[in-house]
Amino acid sequence: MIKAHNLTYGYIQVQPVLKHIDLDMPAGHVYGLLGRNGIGKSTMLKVLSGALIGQGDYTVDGRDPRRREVEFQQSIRLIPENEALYDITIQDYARVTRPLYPTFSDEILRQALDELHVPADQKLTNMSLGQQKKALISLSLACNTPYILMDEPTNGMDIPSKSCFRKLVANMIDEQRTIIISTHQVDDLEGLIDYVTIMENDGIILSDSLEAIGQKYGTEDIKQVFCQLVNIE
Amino acid sequence: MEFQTNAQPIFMQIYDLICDKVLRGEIKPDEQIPSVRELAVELEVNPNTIMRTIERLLQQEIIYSKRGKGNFLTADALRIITEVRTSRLLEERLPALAAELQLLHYSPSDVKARLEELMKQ
Repeated sequence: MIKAHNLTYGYIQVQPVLKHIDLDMPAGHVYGLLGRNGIGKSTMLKVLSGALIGQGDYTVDGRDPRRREVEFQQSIRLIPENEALYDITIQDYARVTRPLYPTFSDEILRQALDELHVPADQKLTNMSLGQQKKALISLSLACNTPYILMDEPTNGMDIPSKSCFRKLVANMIDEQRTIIISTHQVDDLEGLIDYVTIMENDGIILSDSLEAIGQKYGTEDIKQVFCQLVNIE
Repeated sequence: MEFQTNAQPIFMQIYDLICDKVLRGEIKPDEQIPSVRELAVELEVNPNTIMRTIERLLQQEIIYSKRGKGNFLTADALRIITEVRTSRLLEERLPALAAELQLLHYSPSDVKARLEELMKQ
């Protein structure tokens, strides 16, 4: 369960990106985090994962990300849109990542690399952008944490890879896991999402299950609901 | 697979997918349907979405569940699906088609030959 009350964060103090965010995300769902460019989706994921220090009350499974407790770090994995690259193979990367996560699954890593056609023994810096992305996503999924936050995961992936990615994630969804996916590519991920969270200037304007959204808005078409709420012509 | 947007909710598209299989005779009475996880991975969707489909199928008695074993097609599944789909055809699809034909100034006889041709295939 992710909870936030009055969460605020600004890269410059006078102009916060996240303003008084209230959030309540029960576990066991895949949240599609939607919002215009620059509205603070990536910032929000970084704050929740502890990479940035926000203000206000916010907890993941009752733990304050700002305290960076070991149990917290072991329970969450952020997959940023662009990740710093090391000049090593994914095999070696796994060797240093594995001990950090008690849940780490070599089975998931092998399966992900296999299905996404990423060589485990090639240096990351020698890979194409798409391959790098898939390699890092494979490694992060393999961490097998109960909280997985992904920022535009399908960006740069070809069509077959997107399909493999969806299968991998679909297989990881269960009642104990919470996944947040921030995206503009709603079409890529629509089937994986069962909750929708929409950010606007004044905070979270919608966070509900697709089922409830369907009842309230007469459609479960995420794009349609998004355009209606965010007021895009 | 990619789902059509602006159409039915995904859980209903999957419902139709399963009903189509029954209508084509690909699933027989008392035959087990794939598990929630298998369907979720195959169709690349959230297992919770599959659960909504399963609930609908259970509620309409198209499938029954055996505890700990999974879900199986009922003896009446084919009849139930045929009824539901027939009423959808007659009450929704045909009126919509009729309206479209009228809009384009077609008479039923204009499309009869083409329809016969299509149904022969």
